[in-house]
Amino acid sequence: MLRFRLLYLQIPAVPADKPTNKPAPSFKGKRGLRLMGLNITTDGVVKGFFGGNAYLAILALLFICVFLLKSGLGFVPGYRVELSEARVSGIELTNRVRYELTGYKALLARVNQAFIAEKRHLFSDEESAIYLYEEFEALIDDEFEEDIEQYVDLDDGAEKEAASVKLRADIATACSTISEKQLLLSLARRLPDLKKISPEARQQALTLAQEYALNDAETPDAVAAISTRISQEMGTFNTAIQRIKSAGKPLSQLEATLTRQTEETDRILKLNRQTSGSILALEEGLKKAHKRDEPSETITAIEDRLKKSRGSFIEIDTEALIQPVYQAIQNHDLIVDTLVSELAAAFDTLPSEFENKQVTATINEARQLNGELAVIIAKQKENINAWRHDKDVNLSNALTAFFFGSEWQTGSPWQNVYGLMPLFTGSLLVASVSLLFAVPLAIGAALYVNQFAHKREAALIKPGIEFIQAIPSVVLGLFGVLVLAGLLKEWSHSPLLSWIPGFPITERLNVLLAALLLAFMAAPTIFTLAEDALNNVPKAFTEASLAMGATKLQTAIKVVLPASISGIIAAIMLGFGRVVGETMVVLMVAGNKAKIPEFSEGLGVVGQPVHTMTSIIAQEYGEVTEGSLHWQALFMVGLVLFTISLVINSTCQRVLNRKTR
Amino acid sequence: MHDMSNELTTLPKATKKKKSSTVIEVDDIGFSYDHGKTETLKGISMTVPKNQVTALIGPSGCGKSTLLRCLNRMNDLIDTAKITRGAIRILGQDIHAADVDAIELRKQVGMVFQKYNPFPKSIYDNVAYGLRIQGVKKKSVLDEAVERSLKSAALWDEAKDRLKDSALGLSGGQQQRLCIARTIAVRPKVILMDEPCSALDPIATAKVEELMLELRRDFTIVIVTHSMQQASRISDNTAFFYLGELIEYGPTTQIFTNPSVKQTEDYISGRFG
Ligand SMILES: Nc1ncnc2c1ncn2[C@@H]1O[C@H](COP(=O)(O)OP(=O)(O)OP(=O)(O)O)[C@@H](O)[C@H]1O
Ligand SMILES: [Mg+2]
Repeated sequence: MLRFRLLYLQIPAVPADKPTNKPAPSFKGKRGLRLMGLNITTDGVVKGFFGGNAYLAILALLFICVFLLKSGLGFVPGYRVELSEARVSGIELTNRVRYELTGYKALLARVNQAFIAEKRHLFSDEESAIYLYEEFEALIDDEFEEDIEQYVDLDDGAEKEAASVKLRADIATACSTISEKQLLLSLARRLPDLKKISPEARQQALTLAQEYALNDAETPDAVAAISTRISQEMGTFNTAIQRIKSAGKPLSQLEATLTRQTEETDRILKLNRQTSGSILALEEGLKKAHKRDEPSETITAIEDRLKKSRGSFIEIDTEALIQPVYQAIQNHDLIVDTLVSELAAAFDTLPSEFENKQVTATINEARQLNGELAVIIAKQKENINAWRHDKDVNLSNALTAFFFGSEWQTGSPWQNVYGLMPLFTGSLLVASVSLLFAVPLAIGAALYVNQFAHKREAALIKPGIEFIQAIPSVVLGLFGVLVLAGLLKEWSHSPLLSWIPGFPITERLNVLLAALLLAFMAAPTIFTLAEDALNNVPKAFTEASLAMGATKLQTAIKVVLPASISGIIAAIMLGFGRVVGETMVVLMVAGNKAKIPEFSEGLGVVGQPVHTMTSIIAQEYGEVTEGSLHWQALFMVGLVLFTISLVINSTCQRVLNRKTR
Repeated sequence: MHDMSNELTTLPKATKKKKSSTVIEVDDIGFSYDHGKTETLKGISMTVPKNQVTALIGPSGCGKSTLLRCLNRMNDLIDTAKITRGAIRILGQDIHAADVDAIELRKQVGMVFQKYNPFPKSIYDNVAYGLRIQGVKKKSVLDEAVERSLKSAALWDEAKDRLKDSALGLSGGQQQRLCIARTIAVRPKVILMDEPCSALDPIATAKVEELMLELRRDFTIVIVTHSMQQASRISDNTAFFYLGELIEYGPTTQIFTNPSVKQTEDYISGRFG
């Protein structure tokens, strides 16, 4: 199909290479230094140096792993022993009763709160008048003592009449000079949430005070009358509260009895354990001394001490020790059944609606707690009745108690428990909330810098964000504790911000604060990695999209972001890893309260203080003795942290590899 | 569908015979990559007729791609780039006029790149991309457009059973045809192609060339190529560039058989440089 002369086919031949006169190549390498049969070359040394370092790093890692495993895993059998001791001594059983009691106390507190709120609502003026009167009374005692004496000594008549008018006026003036602020301050102890003193209350207090003065410093009957009226009006409520209070007494008593009993048993058991420990050690020492042919004085000294120790070892009859506990617990069913019915009856006497919405809400909460308590009691009844002091505690019980234990309690005279859950949830909560802040910020910034920013702008933002990483975390923590904590708490009380979950904040140090600071630390990591991922998106994609008439924003969101998604996910995960592993900031600002946060508060959970896996180690490592159970427990936590990091890192690798498949 | 808003009649002689009207009019355009210090394009003037294939040839670095990218204002993305003189009119409209939006322009002037660059999405999503960013959501419309475009790009038979598969699983030639399908899905008036076959093997190249001859019926095509055979096989007009200047422009047959300028002849016959 050549329609025309194809000029372009006449391509001239390429001239062949001219032969050159270079010497023939040799394949001999340089000989290195020979030393003890080894051929040492510079290459070999360099290779050996770098290779050696690489293996050293791996060796160190292995060493850490082995050490963590060795120290951590010893915890499980140790914890098993401790748990079985808690069982034998009855601590475990007592804890179950305490659990019920805690539920009851929460309910009682709520009812009390409602009672005070109701009283405040109905008798705000009267109450403040009484307390205010007491303030005035002190003032009169201080300043008008002589005036009162003079006045009392006067004979009845016009003169006394005039003096009375003058005294009244003087007192009124003296009382009115005290500023409202000062009065609120004096009343703060008894009426902490009083915001304003009404003029009526002030007037009433003044009248009472004047009466007091003219009555020769005798408390007027009116004061008592007011108190009586208040308690009469609050009658129904008062009766209900009294009923609730007395309903709980038997359970409290049971708990006290059990505590006393088990503490005693526990003490004996612990002592015996110590003694048997030292007997073992002494026996060992004696054997060694014999072997080493130590002088006979040394041997007799050891034998003496051994004899003493054996003497103080008591043969314990655990069966006998535990009997009082079984006896006390016999009444448990009856006690809790009565408690449940009494509480129900008491709540029935309370009206379902109060004039004050706040009170109604609090009472409803108390009612709900009452329902929950009934459930708890039903369950604990079963648990308690099935409890046997001599049931075996196995290793998996100990493992479960560690991994799913809801309490971390150390240095307690009662019982040390090592439950990971509060720390784990704390770490997870803080990290997730911080990612909530860090991810949009970092990804947004990365997208902006990568897709939209002018070169000069990018040259400002990028190092700026990356510099944040250079801030020592302790400095950030310091800023958090001393500055941000206060500010955040203050802002959280502003009505403008009350829509934010968790606001207003009552705890100064909390999840939100820690998350904010950690977001600051995670953002640079995520930003840098995400920016790299965005950068790795071939320019060709962007060009293709723009050439189709897409805007830059459309291109960024529909093409660049999806194309780099695995890199971005990896960036977020590594950011998460960074936050989970961060210690200093959380130790300083998260509040360090080893308790599972109340997720029932919904998003408001961010206002609570928590403890984390990292900060517990940092906080407690100093106070543990080497090899103790507590020591091992910390290593267990370290092991969990280590595993989490390992999992995160390897998942990242996999995500990234999938991209470059 | 190609009703011309502004028919121009200043056409090269040879194309007049085909009674074609001008789509693109480049008028003494000067372009600089460095704020106007040096000119990469030095006063180019040419017209591109409708429904024809126009090839731009010339040695490397002479400014072919630069000119092509001026036509859909892709050079806007380079901060330091600047049009130093002249104007470009497409369908009679000055594309640098204040009220012209580069985004809208690019919807009318599509582009196919040297290295095939489908998005890492499914075949379907690639073709539907252009319509989706224009706000089309209706599935029936998208389905119809995807099928039509893939058919036009001669890819339908190979792809119809794997529309949901990743586009990156296609062969190189298929990917380039997919890129063409993606471009024509939004029904542009002009398709710019910058060495579309340079990354393809001869068989895939033949397919794409065949396709271009087909597409000529519906679109106006401007193609940059280094392959003289290709230019001669597929183009109606050829423009030869050298050092930022348009040396010769005319019907392909004339340029390849009877060039009027010595430089053109040297280049075409490979005696260049
Ligand atoms: N983004 C850019 N910034 C600065 N100079 C550029 C840019 N792109 C191209 N140039 C320069 O402009 C000149 C023309 O480049 P262009 O890419 O248009 O050549 P071309 O004819 O397409 O060459 P090739 O055939 O190799 O693709 C070259 O000297 C090149 O170095
Ligand atoms: Mg080029």
